[in-house]
Amino acid sequence: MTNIDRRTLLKVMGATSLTPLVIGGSANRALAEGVELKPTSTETVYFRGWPFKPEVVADNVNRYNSEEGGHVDYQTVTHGDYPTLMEKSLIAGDKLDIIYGNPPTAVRFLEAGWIAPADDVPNIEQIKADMYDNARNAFTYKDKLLGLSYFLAIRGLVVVNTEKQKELGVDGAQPKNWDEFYAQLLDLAKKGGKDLYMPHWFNEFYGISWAFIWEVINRGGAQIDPKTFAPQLTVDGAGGKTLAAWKAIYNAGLVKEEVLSFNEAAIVDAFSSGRYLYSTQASYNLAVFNDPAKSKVAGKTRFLPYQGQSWGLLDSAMYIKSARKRSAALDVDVGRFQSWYGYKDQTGKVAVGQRWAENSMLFSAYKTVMESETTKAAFKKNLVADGDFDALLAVNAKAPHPDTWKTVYAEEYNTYLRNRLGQFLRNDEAVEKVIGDINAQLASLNKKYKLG
Amino acid sequence: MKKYRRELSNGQFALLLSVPVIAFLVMVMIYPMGYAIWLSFQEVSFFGGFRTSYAGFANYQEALLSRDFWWSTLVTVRFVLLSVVLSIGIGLALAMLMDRAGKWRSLLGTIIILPWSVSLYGAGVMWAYLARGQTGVASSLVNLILGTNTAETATEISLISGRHIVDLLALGNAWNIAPLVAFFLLASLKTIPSRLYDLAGLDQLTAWERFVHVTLPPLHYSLFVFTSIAMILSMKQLDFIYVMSAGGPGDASSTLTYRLYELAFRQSNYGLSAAMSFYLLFLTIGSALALHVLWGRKLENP
Repeated sequence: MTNIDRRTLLKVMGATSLTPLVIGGSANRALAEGVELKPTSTETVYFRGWPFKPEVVADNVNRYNSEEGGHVDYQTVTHGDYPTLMEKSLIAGDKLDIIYGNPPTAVRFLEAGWIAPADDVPNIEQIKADMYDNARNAFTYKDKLLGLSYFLAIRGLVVVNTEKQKELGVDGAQPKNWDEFYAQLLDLAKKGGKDLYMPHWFNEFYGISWAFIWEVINRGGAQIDPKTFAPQLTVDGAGGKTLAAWKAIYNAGLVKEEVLSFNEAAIVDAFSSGRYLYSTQASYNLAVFNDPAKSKVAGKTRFLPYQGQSWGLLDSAMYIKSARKRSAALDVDVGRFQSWYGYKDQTGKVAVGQRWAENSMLFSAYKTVMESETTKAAFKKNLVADGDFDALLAVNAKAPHPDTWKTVYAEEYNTYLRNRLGQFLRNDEAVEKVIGDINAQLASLNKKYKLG
Repeated sequence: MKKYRRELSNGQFALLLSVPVIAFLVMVMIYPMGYAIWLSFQEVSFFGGFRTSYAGFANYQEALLSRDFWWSTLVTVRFVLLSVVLSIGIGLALAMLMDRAGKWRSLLGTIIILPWSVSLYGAGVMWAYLARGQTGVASSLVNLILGTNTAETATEISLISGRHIVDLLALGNAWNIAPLVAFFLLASLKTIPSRLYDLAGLDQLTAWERFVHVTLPPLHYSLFVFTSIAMILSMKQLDFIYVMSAGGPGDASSTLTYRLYELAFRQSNYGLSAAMSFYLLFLTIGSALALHVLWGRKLENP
């Protein structure tokens, strides 16, 4: 037996007594680092969201209010025109403190002076370090972080009805890119196949216009030059090829005209009915399609993997802080709530983000959430095959962030595209004319906002 | 000597009753109207701080030169014409049905008033589902008849097409307005003495002749009033169109109100939308005046 001297004994005892603080203390790291998330005043923080699972949001908010003594007032507004309604409220100086925002909306609002960047939110350095690079890039504009992560998703994921795939004899031939995809559709149509494709051409701000934007980028093209903002669409390039493909399938009767008046719920219902072979959807809808209570294709829905060409785009939303005039105390409270809600709570967990990932299959910008075993298990419950989780992550990693979303006019461009693309299809217009018109519109917007 | 008080004419009496309402409307409208006029002559920007610059008639000119404006005007005129014809036609038919319903009138009336009591938002959602291929009434009927009800065999018939969406919207709009028309026309029908129908019977008039010569004449003024009301309600219709078709497919059902909504609220182009709104106002007032000249004045001075 070795005799231990007093000094050594004290060192060991000291280390042992500190151990619980080191191991369990990571849960209190937020406090230990001086990050306080409780409000400093009794003033109300106004939080307005769109109506996606409002009961979950309300529950999260109630937890902050009860556990941290918060005074957060949460309500929902109409989803279809959320950015529009928020813009009007911000112009009017309404009581809005925390809102949702997609990156293009956030860019517009920041340029207009309606929102404040998130760079002074408590815990910001840890937040930035925990974000994936592509997500941080999507959330950053002119070196400012626009908000904290609400969700990420792949929008434009090509979901596949594997049962119908087998029936049509195409289960061995996964298209690798958009050209092969449309070629297969037209070939199947010639052979008499029906209900082959439900596209993302619905009539909301994130419908047909986003579908055009992602296809152009997936094909390696661009709408604008990133430095000069000059329009980049050409007839022979990605833009022209996209329009030509759309015209071919539309004129072949593969897509019904009524789709141009749908909302997102309608295309989700359509694919869930089991009629369609393919559809372009948001990745989180895999949870709907593989749920037997909600879908006739449950257990049969997979997606086209990444095989050299990206699919869709990186859809995301943030929790954004408005720039309205507040008392100094309320301003602090809003920042603390934004940090609590958008990153770690007082226990050190990214509780809200983790809950979205587990319950709604929403990706998060944070590695803490995406690399947890709980998230992996939750995602796998909504996926058919073992390899699908990694395949989904691979598609997500390659999903691009659109070029036009770093401009102040992204929403106006969106509205223009929505109308123009509908006219193109319905009136069977020439691709050259439409490409010319879209480029002219981009040039006009550059001139309006003095860009380039 | 007895003093005689000068009696008010009908017009003066009507004005006297209307003055409080007119005064209230003017007070409520004057600021927004004035602001809209001012906006229509401005170029408005929010970026780098809210600022305006005088644009003269540029917004009005831009509207007139815009293909979208003229397309929306055309869609509006078609939508309004169809809505009015359907509202009045269906309303009159329902009124006559209730008039002859006897002991079933109350029950019939309760059922007939239901569409009018539904919110336009709810009506829009319902009509969208009824019209779509997958969920719609046309598909259901055809598959019921053919016995093809599985996903593999069912036929999908969509009523939503660029060519006919305006007709469908007008039908839905009329579905909402017609009950109101029916009840007011029923009230007018009740004032027709039954003796007139007895006399018509003695004269051996056909059903159509009885309708034209006995039923219709007392209804003329009510029909004129409700044609005006249906026309104005249809001109300013937004909710139903927004929910049912969102101005689509493409822009096939983008009426002027929908176009204005897009310009003002989605594109924050306040100057142009204000200018366009005055064109819509001129169209509405002009149509109401034309109706009065062509029809209303003849009723007042037969």
